[in-house]
Amino acid sequence: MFRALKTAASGMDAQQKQIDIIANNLANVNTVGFKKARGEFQDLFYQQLRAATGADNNQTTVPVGLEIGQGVRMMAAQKLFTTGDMLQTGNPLDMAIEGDGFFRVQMPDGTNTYTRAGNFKLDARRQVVTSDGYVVDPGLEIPADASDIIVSREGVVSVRQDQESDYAEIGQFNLVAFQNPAGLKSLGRGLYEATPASGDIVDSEPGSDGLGFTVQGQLESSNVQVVEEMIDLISAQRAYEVNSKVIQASDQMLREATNIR
Amino acid sequence: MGNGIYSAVAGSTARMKELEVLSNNLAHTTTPGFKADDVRFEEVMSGKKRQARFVEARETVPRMSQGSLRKTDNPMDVALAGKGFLVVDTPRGARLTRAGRFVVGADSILRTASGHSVRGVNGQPIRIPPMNERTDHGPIVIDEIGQLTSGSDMLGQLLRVSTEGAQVNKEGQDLFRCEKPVEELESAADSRVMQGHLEQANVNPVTLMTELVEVQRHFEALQQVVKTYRQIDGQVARRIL
Repeated sequence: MFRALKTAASGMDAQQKQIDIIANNLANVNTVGFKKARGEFQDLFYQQLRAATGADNNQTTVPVGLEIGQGVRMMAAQKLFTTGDMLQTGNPLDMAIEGDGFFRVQMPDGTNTYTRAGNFKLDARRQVVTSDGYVVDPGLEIPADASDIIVSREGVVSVRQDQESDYAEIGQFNLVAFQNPAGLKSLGRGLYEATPASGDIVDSEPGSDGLGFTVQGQLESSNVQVVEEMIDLISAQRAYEVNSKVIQASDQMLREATNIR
Repeated sequence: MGNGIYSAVAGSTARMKELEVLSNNLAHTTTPGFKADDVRFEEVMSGKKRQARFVEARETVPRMSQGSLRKTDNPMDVALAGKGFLVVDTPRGARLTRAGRFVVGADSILRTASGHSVRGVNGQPIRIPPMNERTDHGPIVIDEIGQLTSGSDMLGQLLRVSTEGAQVNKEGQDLFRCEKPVEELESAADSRVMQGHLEQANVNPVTLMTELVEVQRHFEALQQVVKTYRQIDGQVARRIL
């Protein structure tokens, strides 16, 4: 009886976490480069009240045991790195990645983080930075007199200076991919940090080694599908409800048993 | 005092166990690859003349019906349409699963979300090389017999097995175990691998809610029986004393 109460409570707890995840996905539906998360449910261990295949009192074998599950848990919130829709912006410093890969970002403490949010800006030193002001690897400086910036699909950055007709190469964006991007740690602000679980790093020019291409003048919108999230929200809410009904039923049965005396 | 009161108590206990199983089924309406459990009751007789009859919750049997498939578009999600299981290796030995939400681990091995390696047809784990080591750097494609390819590279094949009607028991963490030997499935005729899909739990909340009502009402009725016996015994005691 108390098992039923706890099992239903585990269901309510897991569905509550699911709604938390859905709420965050929906809140970021317009966040550039955002990757949605998915709650992963899993069954808990089963209590064996009567084990299968053991001998019964009468020395007959038991083909099926009596196992009672202990409920459910939210095991992980897996980030899904499917590509979001591309938005045309025309801004020369907006960059999207067509395919796999991340831009590398240099943090003030010397560590590296990774992002797919390519809404880059120029800072006071005319360095290419993220919208939070962190320097995008390799720290390209755009000359003050540059009138036009072109980034090729392979990540090569060229600028044209005033009264000059030729474009001059000033550097190159490299992309980085991970063997298991779901293992990256989310830092918020569109940044991810490598962990032991994210595995080997592929670091190369865009378009080589299976990495995606850089696309100038476009931004990758979030990969959240509102309709899907709404359906998940409905099913999480209903699942929460049925679990609360089980708690009510258990409670009424307990009261019934208590009322015998 | 008659045996009836014990029958009513045994019935209540059995219904309580059924409630526990029901509550677990209902907790898993959104767990991929979950199979609902059914409780089986059995009549137990005791006494010299076998006059006392009780009911006991004897067995829980996973209901192996197909859950609906949900498209996820995640290339590492795999569902089975039809019978059978996929095989994973755990520290306790090989186990079966139908929850095909896989990830490529940091060591390039295909693993379940709990970290168990997925077994290939050659009995070994399946290795997915990093994209710069794949010949065409192509995406991973899984066909309906479970072969994993990337461009022209053959990366392995998922092992699918059938328990051929033998009993499977649940172990938690999406895992099942089968004591009997299992048979490898080769064709896609009655078990198709669907990439980018997940099998939903085969739990129907509507039927389970009606079962829940039934359990609760039956339990109430049995408690009424116990109360009635108590009143009868009370009256008998008052009249005699």
